[in-house]
Amino acid sequence: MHRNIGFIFCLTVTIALMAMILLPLVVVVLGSCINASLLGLSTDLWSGSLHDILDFSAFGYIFENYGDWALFSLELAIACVAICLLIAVPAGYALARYPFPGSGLVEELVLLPFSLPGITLSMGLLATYGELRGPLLVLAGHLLYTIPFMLKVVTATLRSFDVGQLETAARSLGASFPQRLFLVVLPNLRHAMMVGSLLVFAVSWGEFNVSFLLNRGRPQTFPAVLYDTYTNQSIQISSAATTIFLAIVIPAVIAIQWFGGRESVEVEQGA
Amino acid sequence: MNILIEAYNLCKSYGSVAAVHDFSHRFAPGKITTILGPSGSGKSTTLGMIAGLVIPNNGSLLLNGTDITRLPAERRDFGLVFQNYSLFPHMSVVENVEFGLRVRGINRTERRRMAMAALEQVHILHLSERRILQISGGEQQRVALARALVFSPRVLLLDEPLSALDAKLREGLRTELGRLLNELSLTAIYVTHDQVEAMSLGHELIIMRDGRIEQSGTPLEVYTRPETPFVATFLGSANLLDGECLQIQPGETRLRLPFVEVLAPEGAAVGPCQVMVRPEDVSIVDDCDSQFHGRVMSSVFLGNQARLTVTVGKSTLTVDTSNEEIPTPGMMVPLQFREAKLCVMPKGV
Repeated sequence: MHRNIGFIFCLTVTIALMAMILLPLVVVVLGSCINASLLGLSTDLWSGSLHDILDFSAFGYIFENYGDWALFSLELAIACVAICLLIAVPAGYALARYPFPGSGLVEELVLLPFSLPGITLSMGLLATYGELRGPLLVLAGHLLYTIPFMLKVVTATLRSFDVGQLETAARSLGASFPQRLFLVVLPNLRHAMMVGSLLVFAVSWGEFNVSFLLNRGRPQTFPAVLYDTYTNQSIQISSAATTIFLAIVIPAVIAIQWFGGRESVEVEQGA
Repeated sequence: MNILIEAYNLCKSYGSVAAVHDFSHRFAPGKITTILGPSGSGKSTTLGMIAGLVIPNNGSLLLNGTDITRLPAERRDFGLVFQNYSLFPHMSVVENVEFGLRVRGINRTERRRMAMAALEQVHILHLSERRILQISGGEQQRVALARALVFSPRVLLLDEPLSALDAKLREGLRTELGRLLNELSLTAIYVTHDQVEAMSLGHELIIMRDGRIEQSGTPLEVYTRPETPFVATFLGSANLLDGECLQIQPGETRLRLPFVEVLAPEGAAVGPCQVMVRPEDVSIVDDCDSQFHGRVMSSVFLGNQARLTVTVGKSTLTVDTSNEEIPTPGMMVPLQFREAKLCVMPKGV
């Protein structure tokens, strides 16, 4: 009986918490396509459809006016993923496989950007590479925030099974270094690289501070669209922008959960 | 195809710690050589040097007369079986076995055919499509063996391959492994800390201690004629007694032990010595045949036999006896050495 009461209590708290988190998202998504002024809920001056309750024209407005911003953000996120794969995967492999005196410190230093406010990091970058201000410096800022994710996922995975022993086995079977890399190391890292890529993509796509401070003029990154529309536009338009933002980031987060879950199952079975 | 491996003065040290010191041995072609030693004796490091995974600081390794000391492991064509199997978790059983053929550029159909034949050889053909994580430890070790054998290695190296298995499984797999290796007449080097494995599988046995070869020979030789007290006590159980060989007259040497004097074994040098006698070479006999008497301090029933601890004067002897009439503690028993089995070692080795 006590257990039932406890269970109901926990369930209620969980549902309440979920509602608290999800409700604003639902309101935003609905707000992007329901004509609030027709319902008498708003005095917005948005001049979309005057007659339809269901009205998607705000999305058209966003694509028309901020399409290049979205594209810039997507390009930035994809570039981050590509560069992280090229830099953080080999670096993570080197750190996990061939530790050297001080390699632990290196790993911790890579995490430093997490403990610094975006503005501090941006000022540092501007002071050092001021003349590069613009998309290139934004990319550099994003990399400082995203490389640690990829590096951590890769090193943690490499440490969860003895990759050195597998490489030794491959050597004994006659595999050269490239063969060991492509037939043994990378296939065992594919989940980690997938999870890392999705994390990097999501972080880059959602990053605001650094992008805002390091960029010069237009286009800005997509989170700046949210800032811009919430400060200057009607609720329906900013809701549409937010909906587009979520439509990109939520599938990525779900995929991270899915791949992450599979990864941990495999590691457990392997152990 | 009998491959001869010769090691000359192989040395390996890690920092100031010498892991292996002056390892020289000519491994019998087409035979199984077992390397036995306690942990830290350098046996795995030695195997690593033979495999090409550990670079020796000094010495050389010859394969049919060709120096391969610096040849990388991947170009030696040696099969290697590890204690922890080291199978590739992202591949199926048959893909694991195919790996060595794949990196040698053998086409898909041919390598599948060869891998299936290798799996059949180790009796797990039915598991070919399983994932590695779906099969048991014993089955994994069979996969590892098939994977190491499929590309017809010149030499097979095994590093404690059965240590991770439970006792019953280990025994079965040991017998099977011995049969398979003998059928293939491969030059095989087998590292183990299990003396039963070392003696039953090896045509030749090397005992290592502190990075050096303590003794080598056939298992029977090493067991019956240990050259040092370490070998005597490490391989099986042994009674060690202080003694002295005395020349009574030319051609007659006597061996004086603390509680009995017997005819010295042939070739025993005159002077103080240590004498090794195995528990099975001390027998309980009729009073009239006895050389000495001892008091039973404890007796342990071991199923097929019983092990007694007996004191004779100030010495203590371990004696194995049949399980028919087991003396009880406190009893005096008449005892006799099987004199031919007494092994005399110089003192202070």
